[in-house]
Amino acid sequence: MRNYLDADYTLRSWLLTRDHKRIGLLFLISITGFFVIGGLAATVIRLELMTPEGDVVSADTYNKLFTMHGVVMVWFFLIPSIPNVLGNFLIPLMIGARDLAFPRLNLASWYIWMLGGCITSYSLIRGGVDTGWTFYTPFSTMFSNTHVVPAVMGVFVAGFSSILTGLNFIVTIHKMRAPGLTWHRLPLFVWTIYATSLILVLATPVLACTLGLLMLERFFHVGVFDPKLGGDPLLFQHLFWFYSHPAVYIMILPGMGVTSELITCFSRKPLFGYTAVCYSSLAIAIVGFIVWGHHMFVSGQAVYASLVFSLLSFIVAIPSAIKVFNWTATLYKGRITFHTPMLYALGFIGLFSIGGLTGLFLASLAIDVHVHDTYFVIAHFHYIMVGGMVSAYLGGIHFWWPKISGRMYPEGWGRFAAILLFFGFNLTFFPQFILGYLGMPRRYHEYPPEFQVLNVMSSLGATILAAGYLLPLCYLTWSLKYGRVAPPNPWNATGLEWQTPSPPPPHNFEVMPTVTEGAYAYTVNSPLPGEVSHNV
Amino acid sequence: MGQLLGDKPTLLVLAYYGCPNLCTQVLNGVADGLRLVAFNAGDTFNVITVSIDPREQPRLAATKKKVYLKRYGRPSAEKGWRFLTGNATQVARLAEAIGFRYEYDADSDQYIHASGITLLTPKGKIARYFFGTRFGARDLRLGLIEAAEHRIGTLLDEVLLLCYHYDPSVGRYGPAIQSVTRWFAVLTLLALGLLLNFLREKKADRRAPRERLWSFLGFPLFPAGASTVSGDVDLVFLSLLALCLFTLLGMFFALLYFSVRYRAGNNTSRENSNPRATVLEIAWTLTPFAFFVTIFIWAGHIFFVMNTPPPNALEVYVIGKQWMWKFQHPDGEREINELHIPIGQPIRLTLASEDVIHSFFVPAFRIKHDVVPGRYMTTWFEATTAGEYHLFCTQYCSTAHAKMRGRIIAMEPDRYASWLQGIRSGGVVPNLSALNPLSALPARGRKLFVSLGCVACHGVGGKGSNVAPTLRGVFGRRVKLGDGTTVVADDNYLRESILLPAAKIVQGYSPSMPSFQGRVSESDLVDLVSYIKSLKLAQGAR
Repeated sequence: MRNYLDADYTLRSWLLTRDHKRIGLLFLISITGFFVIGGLAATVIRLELMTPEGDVVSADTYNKLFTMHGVVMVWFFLIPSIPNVLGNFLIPLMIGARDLAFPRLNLASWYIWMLGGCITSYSLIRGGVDTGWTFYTPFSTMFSNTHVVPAVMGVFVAGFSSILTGLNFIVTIHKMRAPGLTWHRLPLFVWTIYATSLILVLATPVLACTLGLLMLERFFHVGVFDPKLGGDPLLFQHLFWFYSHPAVYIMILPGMGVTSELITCFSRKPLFGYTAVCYSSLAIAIVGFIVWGHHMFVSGQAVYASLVFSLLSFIVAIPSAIKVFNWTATLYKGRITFHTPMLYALGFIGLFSIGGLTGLFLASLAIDVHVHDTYFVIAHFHYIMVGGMVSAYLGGIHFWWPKISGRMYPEGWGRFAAILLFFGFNLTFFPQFILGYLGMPRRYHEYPPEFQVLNVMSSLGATILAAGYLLPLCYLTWSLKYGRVAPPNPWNATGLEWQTPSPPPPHNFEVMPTVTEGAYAYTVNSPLPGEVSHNV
Repeated sequence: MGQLLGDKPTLLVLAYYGCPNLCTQVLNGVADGLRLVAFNAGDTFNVITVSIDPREQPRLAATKKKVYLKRYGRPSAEKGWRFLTGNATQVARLAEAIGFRYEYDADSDQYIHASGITLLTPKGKIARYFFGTRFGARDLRLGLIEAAEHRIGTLLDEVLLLCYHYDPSVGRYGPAIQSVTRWFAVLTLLALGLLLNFLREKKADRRAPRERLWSFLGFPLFPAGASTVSGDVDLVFLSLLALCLFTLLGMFFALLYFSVRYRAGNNTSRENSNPRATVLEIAWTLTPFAFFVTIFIWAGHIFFVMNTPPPNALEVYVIGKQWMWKFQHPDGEREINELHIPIGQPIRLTLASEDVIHSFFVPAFRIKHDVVPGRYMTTWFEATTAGEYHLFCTQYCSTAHAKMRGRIIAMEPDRYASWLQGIRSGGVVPNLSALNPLSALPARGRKLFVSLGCVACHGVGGKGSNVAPTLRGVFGRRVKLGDGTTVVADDNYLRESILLPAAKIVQGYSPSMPSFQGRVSESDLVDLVSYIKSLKLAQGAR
């Protein structure tokens, strides 16, 4: 019986595949490439900030580097990371379906996204963009002399991939669940991908319109955002953040889903408060749409509007708090093992909590006035995006690696890398909270000397972080050939994806599964993760 | 007397029935207060009123009883609220025993006495005094429960009594929980203060602006504040920080404890491992919410203050352009990348941009505001400590964004005055670059008003003509527009009317004015707007 990897070896069979698992892998390889590009940019940025003077690269190069870092990491790594790689691979497996609802559309998603990536890369090759990933007007439309249009066009195109993927997931989750798999039996990963898809479908068109208007003004001088042409620069910010704040939840919700899977599996317990966690995802997705104005407290937005956005931003923190408390409570009276994925999951809880709590500082109006656009904001969202999302992504990749590749990764190296990344991450980003309150602005190529000590700490941490990221890249690649052959269910986990061989056959299940119980039906007597290798 | 107490707590009221004012007030207060208490007089407690006037007879007492029982309105009080009289020695002994002072004033034929009631335990010991003429229902209820030695009341009352304690200084049951939390806050602040105390002040670098930073082992940790709002912002920041640290420590402790105790190898009890805990779930949803709302209101209030410039503020125009800051003082002095201001004086900043969005950020003052092209923005501050402070542009504005920095030099008022004097006399003032002392803003604006041809239609001194409205006194006034709406003629309106005159046409005029977009710079606009603002109506005219 052939698995999906052995089914055919030709390049054509990969490039024209309609198998969701292969498309997931196409995304895995391509986002890893973009992650390396974004990471290299960050490396030069941290190198530059070792000294207060602007001595490593010129100011213009520096500006292009942080723009590239932002654009690439947001649209070509974070947004597609968990949804397009793990989501693609796992959603049909988790719900007991043979594939996504629209396999061809799924392949089209990848091609469209790659086209966007190529267009944006073209602007980088031609000399880069210097607007920052936020493309604020009127700078991006009337002042910048760099290749703004290709960069924006790339993001514009990639957005259509997001919409198609979101649509595909929504339809699949609604229509293709196995018999007996009711909504309240769904694994939480599926719930979070569902909530994420809602945001992808509803918010991305707004981004497309915004970027379309931006290109119109830059090409044809249509006065939309530039006040000299009768436009309004704040309009751009409203439109941009109307997409980009929900986009933050596109980036973190799937991470929460992965964490729910890992915490339950490695503590051998059903999730505490399953229902609350389900609906908190939807609450985040919905309330997340009406908090965008908290990016604009000092922009000249009306004071009363700011008050409303501030309150709503506090409210959106509550469902996240619920999730964190529920994960912690799940550990209670569990039987906990500390395999690599669990280390990432615990790291996720800690780092996401810090990221989330510092978000409260930014939601508090008077505090935000001081820390807005400083390194405090940088530290805050890196705790969410890197400490949270990337931890969850790596945890998920390790957890499902046996299913994806049919091989086990080396556990010792895995744990070592997870711990290294945790410490490297904190050393890199924690000093930035202090820098921010001291008043160091973001996007500064050079800075007053009193900020140097903390910047050096941050750069040191970044070195450790870089090593931490290289390790999994190496040992996971190594394991493809030399890793121990994985059994169908190495973690002895519940969930339909573990009831089929590793790697799964092209159409996932030999016999269509039927579901008779809720997710995470672990009991006191369930064998521990790893024990299973002797039994099967 | 002892027999009357029985086994119930008793509220003892000393008064005299012929009293013209105070006693009536006290008795009314008792009846009104007790009406709101669920316990019935006669069932769970007794009330005894004793006349301090030995001349008063039981008959008068009986009439009074009728009046007050009607006011109290509970049938059980018939036997539970007694109105007594007595002879001079009896009354004196009772008053002495409970510490109630009174004296007869022969001139007015009245008694001078204290105003208050006494709560006795069933054994006749004094449990509480309540002073005044109004008695809170909560105070009475909790007092009765205590006096009854906790034999009446519900469990909820017990919990309440844990949180509320009688505060003799105000004579009420105040929430003790408040003082507990107050102590918590004090302890937290003390801890933070101790921490700050350990942090040395960094030796200032002579060349750089003197920013005061608190550091620990060479690591700068916290910036010293120097404005009227900086302390408030720091306090809300530190409070939220303490709250977050508390939460995080609790959570990390739970994570660690569970991880160790419930590790797979550890043989510990795992019975009832999936408890349903709806109450817990509701608690950890509502508790954060309550804290969030508190912080929201607190920080929102400070934000409001930050956005409301005081009326007596000195007005300074700030123009941001790639990549420099230009300042214009009200009297016309100009500075570049440096702003001298007096301490103790609110400064209102009107912010304008020549090109892209910038942001005006002074960390030491904890203020920041974006500078957006196409409109004026306003913010304000009042420096409290003299010194030199960083000014940063925090809205990315291309190539030299990181060089768009400046200094705010806050000076003692007398030094500021002599600095101003120095510029006006053209004398050399140290540390002043690119200073361009010219005539006052309105005077420069008047020259532009003439040279740009505004004078042709708007008239000399902004008198107006049949093609253009008068500009005299227009600033701050409501202006009626052609479409029937009205706008207040503020800085932004004047600015827009110069650049885009067709946008808001004053009623009765045709859109004949040309646009001055591109013909005047932001500094010219500042001059023109100041000139128009200086055109005041003559005294008494409207």
